[in-house]
Amino acid sequence: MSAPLSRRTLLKLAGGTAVAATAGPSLSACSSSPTASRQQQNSGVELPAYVAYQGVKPDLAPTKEGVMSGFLRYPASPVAGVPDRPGTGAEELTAFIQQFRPIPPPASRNEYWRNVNDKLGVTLNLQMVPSANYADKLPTVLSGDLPDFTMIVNTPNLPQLLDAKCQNLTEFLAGDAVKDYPMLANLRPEAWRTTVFNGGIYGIPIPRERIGVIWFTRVDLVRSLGFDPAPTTYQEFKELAKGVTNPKENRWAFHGPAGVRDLILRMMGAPVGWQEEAGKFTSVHELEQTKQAISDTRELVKAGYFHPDTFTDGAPFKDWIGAGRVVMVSDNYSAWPQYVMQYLKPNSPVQLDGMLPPKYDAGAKPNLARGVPSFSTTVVKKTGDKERIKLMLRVANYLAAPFGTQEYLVNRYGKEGVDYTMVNGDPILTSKGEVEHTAEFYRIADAPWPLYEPGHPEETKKEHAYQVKAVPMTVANPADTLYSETYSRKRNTLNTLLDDALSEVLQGRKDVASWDDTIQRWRKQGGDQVRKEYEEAFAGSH
Amino acid sequence: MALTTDKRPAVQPVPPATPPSTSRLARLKRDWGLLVFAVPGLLVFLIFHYVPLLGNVIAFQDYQPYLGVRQSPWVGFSNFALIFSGDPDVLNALKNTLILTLLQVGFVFPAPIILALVLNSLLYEPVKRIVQSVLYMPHFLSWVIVVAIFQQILGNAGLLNTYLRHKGIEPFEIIGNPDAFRALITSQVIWKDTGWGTILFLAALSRVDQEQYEAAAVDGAGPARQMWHVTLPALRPLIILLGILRLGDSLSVGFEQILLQQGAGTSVSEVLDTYVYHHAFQQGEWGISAAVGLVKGLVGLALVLGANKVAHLFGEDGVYRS
Amino acid sequence: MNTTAPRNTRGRSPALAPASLPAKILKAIVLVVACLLVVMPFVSVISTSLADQQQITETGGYVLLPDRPSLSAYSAILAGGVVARALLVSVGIAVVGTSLGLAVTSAMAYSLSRPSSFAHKPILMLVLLTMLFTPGIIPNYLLIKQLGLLNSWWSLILPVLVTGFSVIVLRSFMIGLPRDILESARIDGANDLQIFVRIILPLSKAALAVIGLFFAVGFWNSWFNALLYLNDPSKLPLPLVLRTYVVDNARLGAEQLSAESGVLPPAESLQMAILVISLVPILLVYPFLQRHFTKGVLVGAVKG
Repeated sequence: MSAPLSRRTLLKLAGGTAVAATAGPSLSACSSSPTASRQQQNSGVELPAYVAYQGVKPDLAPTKEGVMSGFLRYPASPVAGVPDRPGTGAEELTAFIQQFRPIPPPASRNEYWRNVNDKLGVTLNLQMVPSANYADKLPTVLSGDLPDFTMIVNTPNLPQLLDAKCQNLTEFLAGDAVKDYPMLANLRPEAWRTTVFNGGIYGIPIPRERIGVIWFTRVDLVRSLGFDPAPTTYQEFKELAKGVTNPKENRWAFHGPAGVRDLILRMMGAPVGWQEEAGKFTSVHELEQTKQAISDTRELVKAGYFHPDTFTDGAPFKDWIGAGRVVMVSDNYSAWPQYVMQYLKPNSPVQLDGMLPPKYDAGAKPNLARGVPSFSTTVVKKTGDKERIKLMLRVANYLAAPFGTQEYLVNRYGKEGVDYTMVNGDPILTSKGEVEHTAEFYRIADAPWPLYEPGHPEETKKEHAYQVKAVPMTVANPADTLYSETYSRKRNTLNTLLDDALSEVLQGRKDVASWDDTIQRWRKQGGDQVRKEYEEAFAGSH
Repeated sequence: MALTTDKRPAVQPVPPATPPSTSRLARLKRDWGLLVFAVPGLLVFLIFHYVPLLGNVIAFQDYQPYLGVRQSPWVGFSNFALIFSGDPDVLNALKNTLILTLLQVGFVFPAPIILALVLNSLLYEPVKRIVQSVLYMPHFLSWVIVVAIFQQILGNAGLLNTYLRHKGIEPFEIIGNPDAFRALITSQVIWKDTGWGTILFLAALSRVDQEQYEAAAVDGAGPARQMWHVTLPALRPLIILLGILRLGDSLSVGFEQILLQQGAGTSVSEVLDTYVYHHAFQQGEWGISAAVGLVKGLVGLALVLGANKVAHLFGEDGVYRS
Repeated sequence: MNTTAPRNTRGRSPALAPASLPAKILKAIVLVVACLLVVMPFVSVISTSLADQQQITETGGYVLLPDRPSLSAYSAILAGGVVARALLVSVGIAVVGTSLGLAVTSAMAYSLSRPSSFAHKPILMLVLLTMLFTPGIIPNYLLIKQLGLLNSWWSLILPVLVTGFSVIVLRSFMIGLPRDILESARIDGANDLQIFVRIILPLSKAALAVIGLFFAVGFWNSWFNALLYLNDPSKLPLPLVLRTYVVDNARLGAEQLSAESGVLPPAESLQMAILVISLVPILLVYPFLQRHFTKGVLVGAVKG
């Protein structure tokens, strides 16, 4: 018995910073740098045309800069976005995906899954791995025959892997070719750029938004204590922290010292990730601003504004902010719906909002870090069968139907009346639906997310309003569009080195001056090599 | 008489029924029936263990899964160079590993023995059973839960410290404190596995004949001397066996447990296995992981063989007799 | 030293009676403390599995006694039958694996229980080496693939039918068995099989029970091989399925689209409910096995 494929085998090329277009098949010892010529090759690839899907009208409009569209309720008569069935009912596809939710019942006992298969005209089998164990299983998957779709999230030696086992999709998707798949054409070029390697398009990106990380604040607590949740200077920010901290009441200002350091850097208007000037790259960690930010954070730690367990691994900060144990925390934008769901209950006073970084000093121009354009990339198994590839792209097209379409309801909610019912214009899952719908087809292909809080339209408006202010402030990491093999391999080691050292300074075990030694070690262990590769890649694309 | 010498189990070794024969063929003829019993196990070992062990050849390659063994390039001994390079991080990991192993040998290993002795001396059988069942339960908790429990109680905002803060006493920084790390790790292992560890020892103790205790009592021995001359000697072969086997594992100390708690900083918390995880596995350097595995095995082998010889010197069989 | 009044030793030899009150008290204290240290967290585990979100948020993670106990975590986990099915899968694997494993392991231990037998040392070395050198993940995977065992439950059972540890420990118990019984059986004309079945096995009950327990628990808790070798979601054993309920707090924010998720019970109560569910079968099985390794088994065998 085969289980249907997950629709969402998202391929993430390089987690945080998008791995960009580089990589020749193997390192060839040649002329001007191989990195530069690879980058050149990749920059020259024609990306799929961008045709924003117009079939759904959002209540709160998106903007060109990247503010997400907002919906106060599900559109009343959902449009049929994909009129043609992708398959004929006879085909079978398999996808290897990460699963963040509980394993669903198999298709034979799952109406939602069967419905998806039916609408796709394809039997989708899913090989699901708990997300925490993805890195354990992926190598075994790579060592054998790949399934049809494989979700790739930041694996080392990606270009070589793609060359060896994955299908080059350029002829099917580049330029106007993507118009055969309107939902894929709905994905932004910056997302597609993360799938370009070896001079071709190698996968379907799972898009993410520009908004990035948000500094969540319990505005109800802040106001009730007599403070303004939108301080305009760093001084005011510190006073706010002092004012809300009260250990006797089990309340501290912050969780997450690294998040606070980052926020201070944003207050200063510091570069994001890397500073690029005339083709020269300097890591933000090497700048004086970082030392200053670390020193400031240390002062805040010493003053006792952080939750005592803030340095513990796996600290349950989401519970803390809900309980009022901490008042401010930095989290991904996708956490907002989660907080709404968990904490916005009828009798609960909890109110959350995003805080923009205040000015560090008079001359500062605060900014925000732009989110990465994609979470993962779905690669296609190398095959000579063009019809099969087109079938797979049609399936991905269906799965990428955006919010507001009929297909979206099929993909995410299930069968109407069985898995969900419409309540006040919002689809609400039945208990059967809750169990059945946990298959994460959206890891294979997905549309950009909307802002949508069923039953809490005022929250949607709040989120949208925040983004209107915040997104124009975002600044991209110049390395996001470049690829460094060394970074791809060593990101964990290098980042752990910096995180450990930061932790030691912030906890007072070393002083701020030791940061220089840390940077020296970081440079030797790979930082310089990464810099070199980025500079070469940059040269190749300009 | 009975108390002054080490009392062994009542029966004396009996000379084999057939006269010892040095002829290999003769022994084969004699023992082939016995060897048949080994066949299923040998098959399992050969197929599922030794065949894939050949895969360790990737220790000499820059192995990539999508290329396979045939196409991955050969790099000779360079994967081993990382371990022997004198890199301070590797040496640090080794140091931490050895310190933790020593702590475990000193504290974790004896704990189940002592507990087993205490349990064994309980007279009331139902109490003994209940207590034992209760004590073995933490063994089944995954490390994620155990770490969370310890954090809940000993964390900076945990039960203990909140109580102390309430009373105006300075809280203890335990979790995340590098000075407390080793004690923390060791006590977690003791809490988790001591109860479970008693099972094997209790099984060994259950085989001791009651008559021996009676004979000792008749000779005028009280409980303490009975323990020394009857109980402990009954456990000695098992203790030594387990001790030797434990030595074979000395370079592997708590991987999952430690990975969850590296907030104390890598200078105390990085052990060999976590080092390999971060520097090899996460970077896709399969060759290095395999190389470290081989080195660990060789060191373990040397330790086991050495310890076995030492056991012989003390008159014990150890794992095997030459 | 010994009092003159007869002691109530409840059927055990008077020689085993504890000497003095202080010793008794010390023992009692040690055991009570040990039990409390263990039991308290478990009470917390059970309580948390029954607690609601509000209380968990208030206490910051784990509760000692639930204010408003509810079974919603259990019903969320057991809904849809996925966990129930996985439970059956795990039971099946444990039962088959333990019985086969005990058979193969005890046979091999028996074959190594006579140090002078042919090829004794080489075979023993072979066993010992398996404890020191382990194959890597990928070679294991490729082998399973070659044998056509991918996606089959046998891939979880066959490779671990024997372990070096269990063979060596069992062998040591068997060597310690009294020789004269074996010799007298041999003189009576019994062959190796008969000796094994009629004498060795019954006398090794304690050790077999222990090794059997280790096997059973090992199979019950194992999930890593299932992770690698099983692709069909309906074949997954319990621990692997339960892992997907374990919510990784840090990760959740980045990847969970929650608009259509419905309201799950709080993460901590799910985690604790998972724990309780996986513990229950062990708790049921253990008392039956315990009998076998706490009674003296040699009594009666050597006399007369």
